[in-house]
Parts: sequence; structure tokens; C-alpha cells
Amino acid sequence: MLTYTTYSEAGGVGKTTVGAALLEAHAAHGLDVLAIDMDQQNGSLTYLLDIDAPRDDSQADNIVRHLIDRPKGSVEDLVFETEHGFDLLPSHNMLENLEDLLNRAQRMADDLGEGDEFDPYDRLRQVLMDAGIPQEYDVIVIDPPATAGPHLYNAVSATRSLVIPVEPTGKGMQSVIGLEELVDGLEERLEAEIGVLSAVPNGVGRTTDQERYLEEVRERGYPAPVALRERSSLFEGCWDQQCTPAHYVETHRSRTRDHEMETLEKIDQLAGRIEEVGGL
Amino acid sequence: MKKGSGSDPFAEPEPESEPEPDTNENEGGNEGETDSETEETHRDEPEERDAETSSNARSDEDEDTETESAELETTFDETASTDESTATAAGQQSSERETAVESERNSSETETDAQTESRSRNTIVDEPPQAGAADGGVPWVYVRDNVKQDREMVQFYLRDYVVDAEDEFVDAVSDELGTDVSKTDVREAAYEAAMYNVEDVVERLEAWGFESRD
Repeated sequence: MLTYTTYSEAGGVGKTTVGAALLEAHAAHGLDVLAIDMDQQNGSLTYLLDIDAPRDDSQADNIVRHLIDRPKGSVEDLVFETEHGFDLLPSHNMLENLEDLLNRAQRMADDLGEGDEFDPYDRLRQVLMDAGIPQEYDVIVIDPPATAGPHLYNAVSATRSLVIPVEPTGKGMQSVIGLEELVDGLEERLEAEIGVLSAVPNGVGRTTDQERYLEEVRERGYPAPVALRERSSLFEGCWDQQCTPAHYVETHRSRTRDHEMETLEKIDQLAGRIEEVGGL
Repeated sequence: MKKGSGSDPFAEPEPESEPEPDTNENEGGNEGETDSETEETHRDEPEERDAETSSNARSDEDEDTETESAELETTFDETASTDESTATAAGQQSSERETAVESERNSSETETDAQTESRSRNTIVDEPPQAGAADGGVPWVYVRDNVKQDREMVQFYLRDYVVDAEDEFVDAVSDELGTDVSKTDVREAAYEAAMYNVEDVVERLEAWGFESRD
């Protein structure tokens, strides 16, 4: 089974768009794929995929209710089928208050003498296990917000592996170093080994730069099979039309653009490589 | 932080032992069959002295794995909450078991082949424990965080003329390899290489004045 969290500290590097393209590629490889949207912002995977989930109805069952042990139904019933061949557990506005809610649930568990069993950073993994989700899928990908916090910690704990889109600049490389520190702390806290399946330099300008950034990322020891060139037209098109990159090229482009096809091929390659490193 | 895949989040309850799903799914008669096959192949090898001890050790290990796998399966069954999902899980398991048996047979064959080959080449040093470039794994040099990781410090006593030659040796290796490599890596590689070349080592010792008794 392959599980990973897409994470980058720096915003605006197309983390969610690259994530959606990878999900689509895994599904196209014939794998059963589940995406879990842990990002409370409106511009999240759930929006990109145009999933009509009741995100602001606090009475409706949602992932947060499960995380704080107050579910209203089964996890399976929360899962939507997307039109791109993979499933999505959508985001919900309650994720905005996740930290408070988890703290409250922790206090409640403490009062009931069950505090030792409740780990606010390990809830998502517990919920998925208890619902038998890992047995249903080959691939589980979690998209957390780009800030450190309980969303990210739960995502990392449930996947233990990361795919990190990196902004190919000094600042982006700096954020990789920041991530290493954060992960070291998490490993200790969760007593788990966390791995990087791939770093993805994304938004690279010239070809010579691509090679340089790939080199730099590889020198730090991360697997980095491809660098993606700057594709703002394609990526923004996806958000305008609310769909995945491959779907956008197929449905919303009147003619094939070679450079966009090249990007899609690279993402397909990357997905294959991640499957390999992840042991599928 | 590790480069490559992290630990399996859904492997319970011992994350350190990294249970292999193939072995875990496999149980009962099939396993016995596969094992006896493997052991027979092992006994063909010219190491009669150790055959008995090592086969005992091996079956102990197998027992451990089996207990572990039984525990694991119980955990998974308990987590399947509805009848429906239990049924699905069971279905999946049995089909996986079939594949597992097959793939284990394959892997034990390959393993034996590899062992035979390495034994005919060299009986002293094992294959490196980490996945390497050759078997499609992420090579150790990419996975480790620093050059000392996984390495024990061993004291070497070297004469000056060898110490003086080390830098040049490292440079020569780097040139040939096409990339910079640390002295620590070169030292281990050189030592390992020597283990494949006992004659060269003997020659050197003889040059230093060691003589055989007969």
C-alpha cells in the first residue's frame, strides 16, 4: 500500500494541482485511489475537483466529527467518487477549528480516563484503521494546508511518507530545510519513521535551471525524478474549470500543446516512480 | 527524516519489525511446503557442518513470523466493523494469499540463486544489507543522512606510507567514479573489495615477510 502527504511550506507552488494530477495518474495506472482533503481553505482539492460536499453544514457528518470521536455515520459514507477515477474524502469548514476541537476532545477523554488512548496528532490514522479504509485502497494521498498544525501532523502520521513540491528558488530550498526540522520533531513525537518519496521542483523556468535545481535537491539526498516547468496557464485553467490537469488538456484545450503534454507525461512518470519507491 | 518510503502507518502493532505482507498472509501447509523446498536447496550447498544449526535457527525464525502474523490478522479482523467489510477483507486476503504463495516461491528461488552465486564468488562477506541501485531500491547513499550513519567506528593502525597515500587513493577513486566520494566510503569499499580478493591480500602480507608454516 502506498500512502503519502503532499506538503510544501511555501504556498503557491501548485501543491494541490500537482497532487490532483498525481491522483489521476495513479488511478490511470489501474490503482484504487483515495484522496483526503484536510485543507480548510476554500481553494482546496474539494473545490478543484468540484465536489458538492456540505462543507458549511456543521450538522452534517464530516471528517472532523470522526477525528473528535463524535461521528454521525460511517467514514465510507463520507467518501465521494470523482469523475477522474479516484475517490475523495472532502474538506469541511469544521477543519478551521480542528485544533480547538481536538483539545476539547482530549480533555473529554482525560475526564473519562481514556486520555492515554487519545492522541490528537494520530486521530486520522486511527479513524482510517478503524473504518477498514486501508484494506479498500492501493493508494491514499492526503492534502493538508501549507501550515504546521494538527491538520499536517495528522496527515503525516496517517501516511508516514511525503511528496514535497519545492519552489526552485533559494527560499524554496530553505523551506525544505525547515521541513526537515519539522519532520525530525514529528518522528520523535509519533515514534515513527517518516520518509520523502519524492521532491518535485515545480515552476522551473529554463531547462538549464531545471537541471540545476534537480541536482541541488538530489544532492540533499531526496529522490527527484522530474522537475516541472512553469505551467501557470495550465494550472490556472484547472482552477477556472475545476478539474484535473489531464482533464483540462483533454476537454478545455482546442489544440494539443506539446509543452503541456510533456508536463503531463512527466507527472505520469513521477507517479510511476512514487509507486515504485513506495513499494507498489 | 528518511529519504524514500516512511514506515507503514497501518502496520500494527510492531512498527519496528517491518512485517512483510507476503509472509504474513501466508500460513499453514503452503508455508511448510515452501520452506522445506528452500531448505533442501540450502542443504545442497557444501556447508554440511552448519546445516543442522542453521536450519534450526531458521525454523525458530519462522515460528516467530507465524505468531506475529496471527496477531496481525486478529487486529485487522477486529477493525473491520461491518459484516460486509469483513467479507471483503477476507476475500481479498484469500486472493492475496494465492499471489503471496506464488511470489514467495519466486522470491525464494531468486534468493537461492543469488546466494549460490555470491557463495561461489565469495564466502566471506555478505551482500550489503540495504537495497541497492541494482535491485531497483533506493541506494543506501541516498537514504542515509550522513556518512557515519549505520557505521561502527573501528580503529585501524596504519603506517605512514599508507596514510600518506590515502588522499591520492580517494582522488583516484573519485576520478574513476566521476563523482566526489568521502574517505569513509572509500575505506569501507576498499576493505570490502579486499574481501573478494584474498590472494592480493596474501601477496601483500608475504611481501611484508609473513611465511607459510609448511
